[in-house]
Amino acid sequence: MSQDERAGWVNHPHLLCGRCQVPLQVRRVNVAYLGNAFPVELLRCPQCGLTFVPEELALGKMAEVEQALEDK
Amino acid sequence: MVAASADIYHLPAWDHVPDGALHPGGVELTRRALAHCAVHAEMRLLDVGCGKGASLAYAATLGMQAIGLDLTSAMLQQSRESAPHAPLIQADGLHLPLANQVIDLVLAECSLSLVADHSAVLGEIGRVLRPGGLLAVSDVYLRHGQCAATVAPMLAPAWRGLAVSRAMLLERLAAADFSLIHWEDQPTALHQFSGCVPPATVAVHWEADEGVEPFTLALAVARAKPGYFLLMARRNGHPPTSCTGRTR
Repeated sequence: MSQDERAGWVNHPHLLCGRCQVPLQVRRVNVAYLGNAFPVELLRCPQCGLTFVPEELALGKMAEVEQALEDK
Repeated sequence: MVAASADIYHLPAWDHVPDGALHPGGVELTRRALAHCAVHAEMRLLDVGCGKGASLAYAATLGMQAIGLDLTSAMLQQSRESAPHAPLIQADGLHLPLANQVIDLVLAECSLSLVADHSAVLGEIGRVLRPGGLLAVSDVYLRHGQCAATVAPMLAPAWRGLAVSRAMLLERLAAADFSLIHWEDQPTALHQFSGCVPPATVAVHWEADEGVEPFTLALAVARAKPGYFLLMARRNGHPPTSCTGRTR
């Protein structure tokens, strides 16, 4: 995954949290699955903690990691 | 045992682990390990990375003389509540402040992987164990061991102790003058550990090195098939060769 791809979901300065109506901020969060956690930077609401996972990430690398962890 | 990686145990989620054991398998796996070691009352046990003291408390119920060691005072304070009579030591696993050959059994539950230099820790454990003494380790390893060489350089230096295969572990044990007496996979330990506290923040953390894209590391780790093991080893009878200047 290139830095450009990563920047595609991290650099969204105008995204607002739907509940709190405040700008999302880049935060370090732990993405965990099946006993393994990976600290990553994602956009997160500074008030309620809602984390924005872009569709291309959820259906791309994240799904690939999940599938690999599920395989015996 | 190493500050950079031990910090994860101060996340709030760890406060809610049901049995207080900060390692996959919980106290049940501790019970299994000690049963394999045929422990008896009066044996002197050292728990390297004792965390909140769940294993110390269990050892006390068996009448063992359990000593707890952890890097942080916060953990030791919680151990004090769990095991009020156990001697507690704030120290690094690489520098055990104990004399040579004074321990009968060393327990290391998900703490060996917190140190990148396994050989140094095993050497130090061998120094404090009496000849014929036992070592019980439960920890993370990569079931597809050939992937360890790919994963290791992608991890931050303090976390590289996680990138280890069964063969690498056995080689390091032998080099530290231990004989393996039992090995078993714990295939469900990681999954169950993660599931014990929702959301799944209680987990093995894989920290990417600077410049490594975290999901690239995650995929490499996933393909290496992280697993969990329990092993028992016996210290051979030779005199300790490491840290001979530490005798107190």
